[in-house]
Amino acid sequence: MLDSVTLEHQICDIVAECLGLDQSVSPLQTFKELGADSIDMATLIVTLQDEYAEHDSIDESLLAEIKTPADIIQLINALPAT
Amino acid sequence: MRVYVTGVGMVSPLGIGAEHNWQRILNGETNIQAIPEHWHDYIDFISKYYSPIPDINFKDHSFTRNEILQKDKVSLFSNLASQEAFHDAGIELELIDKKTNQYSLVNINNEKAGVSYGTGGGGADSYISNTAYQKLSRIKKQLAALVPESNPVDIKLRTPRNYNPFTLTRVLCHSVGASNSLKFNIKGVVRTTAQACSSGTTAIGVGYEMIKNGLSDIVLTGGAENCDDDYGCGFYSFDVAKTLVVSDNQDPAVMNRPFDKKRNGFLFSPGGAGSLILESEAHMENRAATPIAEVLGFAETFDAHSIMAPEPEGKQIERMMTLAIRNAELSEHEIDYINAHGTSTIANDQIEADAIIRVFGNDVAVNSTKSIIGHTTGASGAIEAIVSALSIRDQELHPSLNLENPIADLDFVTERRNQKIDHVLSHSFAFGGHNSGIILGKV
Repeated sequence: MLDSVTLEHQICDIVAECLGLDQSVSPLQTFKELGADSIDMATLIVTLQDEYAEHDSIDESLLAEIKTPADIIQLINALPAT
Repeated sequence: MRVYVTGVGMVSPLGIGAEHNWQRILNGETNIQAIPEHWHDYIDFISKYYSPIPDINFKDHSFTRNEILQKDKVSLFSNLASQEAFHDAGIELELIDKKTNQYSLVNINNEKAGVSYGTGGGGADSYISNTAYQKLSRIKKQLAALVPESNPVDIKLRTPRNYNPFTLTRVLCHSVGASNSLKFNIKGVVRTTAQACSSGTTAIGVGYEMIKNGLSDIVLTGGAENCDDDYGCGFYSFDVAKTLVVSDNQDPAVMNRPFDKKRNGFLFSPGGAGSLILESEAHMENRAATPIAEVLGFAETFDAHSIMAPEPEGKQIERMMTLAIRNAELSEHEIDYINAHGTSTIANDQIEADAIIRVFGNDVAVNSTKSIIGHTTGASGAIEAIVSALSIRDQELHPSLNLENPIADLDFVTERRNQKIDHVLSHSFAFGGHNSGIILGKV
């Protein structure tokens, strides 16, 4: 299990990479503020699933609730350890 | 209007890079391996060998996580070969969008730039793997619950970890052309040709015509294939049709024998990509580019005989050859070298050799690039066109491997050799009955 600081950095880096951003991303910025569209969100979610989750281990209904990188961190922290 | 090849790029079973491939092809180096062990978990195969593409870490070649997620390997192979081709043509690429990893072609009018790319199966791997996920992931969970400790079923029911939300756009054939226009910000005419094993050759011909007809000043063209998957489905579809080479206790290194009496099928390769930059004479001269070869002619015909077998008398192959020569305003005796389709199948090679003799006589030099790298299907025509262009540039021919007992009295090239080459015919045939050929000339 990653420590919370490392996980936060990783998630923010992945978000910045997926959205093609030069600047660093804050966990509390909303994806809307970061300019993400629905294709970006699909790309981001599958990237995170590939990176952190076993297949189907993320409840799809929760994905619709993600508004910020902090929401992702919370979701990943709640995943069962593999 | 004259049309020139000014840059080339290649991904093949021999690796990445046109020059790297060309040297290995001249040396007759092969990459023949046993098919993956886990394919045998699903079904039995008649053929046991193939010519795979080495693993490529696309991030090492400036591809991003987003691209790798959004594009099937057929597009990634193609984009990688195209990137090399632009560099080879001396066209600078400038990053203009980090999210899509999109580049602009510096000092090129992108509205007069076009794409003509060929592929046989498009992103078939994405279809197969994501369909497997859809069909099997729930069953896997149910089976795992029945056998919670050892979970032996998981070994055979291979699925990706997730269903890729870009499956649809990864699968469609047109994505190969579109992914190139997206990556290089090309906004002119963009076409994808799907003609099985003649896709690459026909795409180059279409690209040549796009310039001749004034639609484009510069065209990124070529062919790509990724007939690879976790289950051997692509391989099996050819295997069950009994088109693939069988070793018959021979050394696997010598079983692939185009135009030899002992041939028994083709050496399957999952694919790769060949990209070429075509330019009008004026466009090439305006930017002081150096041509590799000139595209002189193109023709295609169709057998209208069988969806799988070639027409036994090869009449439409013969007509295609004649039309290509006429289109190039040449005569038969001016063709010095033919880069043959040369698959090593019983039917193809005899029909092809007989047609060559009827049109060109016995003296034209003939080799088969497939004798070295195997049959890369939709990529093969483009790879062979690049081999033809480099043969002209270097005035050198690669050997046709394992040709000990020729089926015809032709000047088969069995050893690497230097030869005066002014004009080359590179042609391809395909399931369905497609026959297409391009003629390249020395600059």
